[in-house]
Amino acid sequence: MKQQNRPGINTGIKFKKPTGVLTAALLLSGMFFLACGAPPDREKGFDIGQALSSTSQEACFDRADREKVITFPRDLGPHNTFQTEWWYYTGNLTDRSGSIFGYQLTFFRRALTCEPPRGSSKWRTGQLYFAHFALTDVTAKKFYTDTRMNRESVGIAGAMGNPYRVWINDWEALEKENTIHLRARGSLFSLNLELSPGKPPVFQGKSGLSQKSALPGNASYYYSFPRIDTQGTLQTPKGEVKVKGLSWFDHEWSTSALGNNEKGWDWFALHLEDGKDIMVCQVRKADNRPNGFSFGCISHAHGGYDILGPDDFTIKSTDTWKSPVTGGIYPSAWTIFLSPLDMTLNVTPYIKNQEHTGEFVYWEGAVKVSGKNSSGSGYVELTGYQTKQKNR
Amino acid sequence: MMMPPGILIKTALKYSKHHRARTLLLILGIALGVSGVVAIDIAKTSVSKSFELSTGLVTGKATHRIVGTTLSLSQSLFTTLKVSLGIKQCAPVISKYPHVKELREKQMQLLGIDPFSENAFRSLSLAPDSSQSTPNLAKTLMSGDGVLLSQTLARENNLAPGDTLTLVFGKKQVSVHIAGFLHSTAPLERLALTGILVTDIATAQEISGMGDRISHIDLILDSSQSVNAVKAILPKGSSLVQTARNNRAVRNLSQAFETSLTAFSMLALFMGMFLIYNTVSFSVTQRQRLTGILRSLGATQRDIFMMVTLEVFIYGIAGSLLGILVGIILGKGAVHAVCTTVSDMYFVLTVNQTHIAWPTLVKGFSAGMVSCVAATLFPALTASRIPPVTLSRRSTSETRLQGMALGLTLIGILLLGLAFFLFVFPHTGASLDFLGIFMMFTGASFMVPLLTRMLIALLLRLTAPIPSLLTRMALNNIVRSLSRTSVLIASLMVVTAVYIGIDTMTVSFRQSVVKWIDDNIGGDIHVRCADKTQPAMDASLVKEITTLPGVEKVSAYAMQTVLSERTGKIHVFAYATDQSQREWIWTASPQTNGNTLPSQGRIQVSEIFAARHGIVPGQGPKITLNTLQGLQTFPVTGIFRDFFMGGGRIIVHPQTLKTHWGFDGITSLQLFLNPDQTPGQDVDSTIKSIRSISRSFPPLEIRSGKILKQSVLDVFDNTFMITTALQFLTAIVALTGIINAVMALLLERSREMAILRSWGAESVQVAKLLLLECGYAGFIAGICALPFGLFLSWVLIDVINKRSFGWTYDMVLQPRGFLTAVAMAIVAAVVAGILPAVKAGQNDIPTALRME
Repeated sequence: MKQQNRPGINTGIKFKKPTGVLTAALLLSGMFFLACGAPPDREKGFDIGQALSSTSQEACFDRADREKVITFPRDLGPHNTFQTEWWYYTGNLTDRSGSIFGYQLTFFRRALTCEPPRGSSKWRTGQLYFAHFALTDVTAKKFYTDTRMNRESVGIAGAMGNPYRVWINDWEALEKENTIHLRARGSLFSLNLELSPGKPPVFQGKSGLSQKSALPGNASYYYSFPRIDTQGTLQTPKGEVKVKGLSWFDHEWSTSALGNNEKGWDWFALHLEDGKDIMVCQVRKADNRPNGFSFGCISHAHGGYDILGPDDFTIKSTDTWKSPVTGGIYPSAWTIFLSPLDMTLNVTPYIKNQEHTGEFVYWEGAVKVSGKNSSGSGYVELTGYQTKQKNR
Repeated sequence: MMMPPGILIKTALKYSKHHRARTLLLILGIALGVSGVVAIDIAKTSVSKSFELSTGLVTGKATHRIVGTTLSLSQSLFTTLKVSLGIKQCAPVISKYPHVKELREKQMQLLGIDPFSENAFRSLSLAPDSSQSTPNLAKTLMSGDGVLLSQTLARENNLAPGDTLTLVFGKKQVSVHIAGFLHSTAPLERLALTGILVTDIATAQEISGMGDRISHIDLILDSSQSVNAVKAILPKGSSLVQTARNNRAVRNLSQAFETSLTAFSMLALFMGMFLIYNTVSFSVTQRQRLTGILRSLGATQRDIFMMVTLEVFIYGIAGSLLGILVGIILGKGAVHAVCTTVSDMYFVLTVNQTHIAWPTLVKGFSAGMVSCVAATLFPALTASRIPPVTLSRRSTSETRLQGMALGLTLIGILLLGLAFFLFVFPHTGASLDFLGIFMMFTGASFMVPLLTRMLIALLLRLTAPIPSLLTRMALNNIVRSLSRTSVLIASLMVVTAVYIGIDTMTVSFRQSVVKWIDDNIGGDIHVRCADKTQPAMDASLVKEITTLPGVEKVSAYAMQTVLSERTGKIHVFAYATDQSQREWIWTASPQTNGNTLPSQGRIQVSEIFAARHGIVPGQGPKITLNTLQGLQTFPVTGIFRDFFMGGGRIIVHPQTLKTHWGFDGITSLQLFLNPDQTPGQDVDSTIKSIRSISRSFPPLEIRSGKILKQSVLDVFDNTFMITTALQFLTAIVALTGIINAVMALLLERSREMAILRSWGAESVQVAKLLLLECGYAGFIAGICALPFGLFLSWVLIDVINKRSFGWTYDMVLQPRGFLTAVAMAIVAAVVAGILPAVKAGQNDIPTALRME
């Protein structure tokens, strides 16, 4: 393990963070599964939107096969020559009365083809955008979730670096005067937040090149803003509340996917009250054991960070929860031991049911962190626990 | 004491067995009447079902639709809805109707959609097989020219993924490729899919040359709040409509036409009723003696009533069932004819399904049974009143009828008056019309006994100088047995009147259409844009064509289809130059300079349009239309008689078309050539010249005036095809009835004939007498039919057709047609009488006398 004070320095240690590719793979495998892999309702066929979003890999996409300098604002925007990309916001917020909320707003880009579109119509595009929006009202023990999907045509969805903006319909992350404005409106709930990064970005892996396996090119470009001061309003069926708190932002782009042997992963992004922010992730094999490519980072209060490898931490689940909707059995409490800090953290979901039960089934929710020396809150993403993808 | 009903029925049926031919004719008559009703009902429900299927699939779950007054919208409106308003459930659509070469020129709805906006709207599922080519599907659909079509349709036409389809828009042809198949497990949905081609909106936009525009936007709006939010951002020239209401309005376009078909089918059934009444009446009188015996054996009046009714009931069941079968067979043809007309005149039906619903069959069956029972009531009552003695003679009923003739006539006049009142009484819906027609025929029939007597008296006086005993006998015989002959004459009169009515209507209509074509779309050569995706002709080409040597006069105009919220689709014409001759009803003083075209900001509407949208002549009618400038109210300065399309048309000044609907240019030309055509300047060579100078421009459709006229006439003829078929059906039903009646009438008189024979009359003379009787009866029926036929044609032209199509035309009286009708009545009666007359002549005298 080696401490980094500024981005772009090669740590010499290979860290593997497959989250991005995996999530995309899951996203798309969910659809592809419906489309190709003997769909459960074979008689019914499948809808065109699903079929179209399940493109196969094409050789002409760029691959993350060399180190590159990630620069802003250019790299805030999209990288259309790579097949998959996302902008991922999660955060823990409280209102004046102390009520706790969690939110997740994620924008995904998926290239349908690597060939540039032909034809005169402005509807022609090779890019598809998805977004997931979830809100956890801890006091009310409610979890709200909604999705959007659009092609990148006629301005209904897209991304750009300068000024930074990612959007689908009226859901967007928009940079105005060094502040990111997040705006999303679900059927029963909405969010309107202003985000000001409190720490410099973390460039994951080798200066942002996050290797996924031994094969060159099986990697992604990946950076995070681990601690972002957040304030604004949330709307739930109970009404509008003013909130404040912290957010985590990931931006990652890649082309390659993981092998068939991995079943899913457990991803943790935790904000500690002492100013440290910790990300750990373990990829699970079919037998639910880590595949040996776990990875993470510790971002210190002063802005420097350490990259973590598989030997730097352990994640042990201590409880389970069974989804009443999908029947998936998810771990529901964890003990995380971080050897570089000699620190043990106990992580528990604020509420058990934070499962996305839409087209792509996974658990992603706000969690509470407690430990001997520090406590806090954060977000956890669990995939591969559901028995099957839900069909529409 | 009650008689066991079984015995009575057996007795009745045994009697019928001896008159097998008549029983069969009776059943056939009922069957034909029912078949007309069933066939038309099948056609109507099929149109409804086809419409429902195609619009249902295409509308999907949309509650609202944003439409543009120029039938297109800027696609930026969709971006605004999505990004500014955050409307999740909205979908952009491009809709066109090309013919597809590889699908045997079938007209399909090309639906350009955004697949990612779709899933909330239409259930477009890909066939499981398509999954193998899924990666290709994405590629061909999103970045190529891929289309999806129904798996069923592809199988029928041996088409596979990757095959080329040629879409024909007028003369423009576009090739696309099959990317995959659409499929549904629901049979009806599967059928609906056979009417559509689905493609990505980008492909549809490029194919149809729509630039940055789309056809409409579908929305699912679940609150008045979101409806208001959408309305608030709508640009001028677009409007938000409720899909259900919109679909209903489109469906209603052809409703009146379909109602008129029902009216005609009811006419056939009405003929059937006459036939039943005829047959039953005859059999009741013939069985008078038998009935008397039964009564004296203890059968009550109720027993006899039941016996007669039940017997007809049994024939009714047989006839109705047979009618349903025939109706289903005829229905398939009717569906095709009706769907074609509806597609030509009102809206495109991409699915053409024969839908046979249970209610149709039940309706047909009950129509048959109700008419049977209704037609039997009177004769059955008569039978039940026969006293239980055998001495009753027909002369009593004859005497009664003779006395009643005047009273019946008065009732008849009353009924006719009431019918007239019903027709002129403003009303919607067809039931009053049906009642009116029923009353008209009943009234006319009631007048027959008196009319017959008067006509015979006249004929006797006229034939007095001719020393023909047979003639006088024949005429007297008709009056003597008026109770029977008047029924026969009434039936024959009704069928002849129907013939005259429909014939007069058809002839008048055709004549008006021909005149309209000559006045409005005359000209020797017609040129119009054949690329339906680019309606305007190049201005330089227009100039070149109109200045060709030999071209003397030109009508040049633009025709655009626009959409208005309240009126639906409107065809707008703007004439640059005009040679048309129109028949006007001025609602404002016409311009004095002899130019009848509207000035800027004013509109003229066709009669159909006026009728549809409640524009009545009088002071200052106005109409409010959606335009690119928002809602605009236009003064209507004139209404002209017109036969254009189902919904009519309006004429505006070219500048008005430009300002309000953004269209500038010429879409059609009518060329009038110099009458003394010099060689090389005739129609054919001018067409050749136009072809050569227009080679480098988008394709033109060039037709000679003669061919155009024929093709317009074909559309109208097709409209009346089904009417003609029903007319034919009516005639067959009626003839069945007449043959039946004549046979009964003559057979009944075998004793009389035998007496004549025993007095020395030769069989030829007897036959001649009977045929003369038939001929005179036919003649009287034909003469009586003339006024009623004209009355009917007035009903058809001024009441039913006006309401069905909204057009009016002058009744054209054709003496030759009337002569034909009278001759037809005579011939029908004589032909019907030949067999019984010959038989009567050959009868064995003693047997005939003994039998009686």
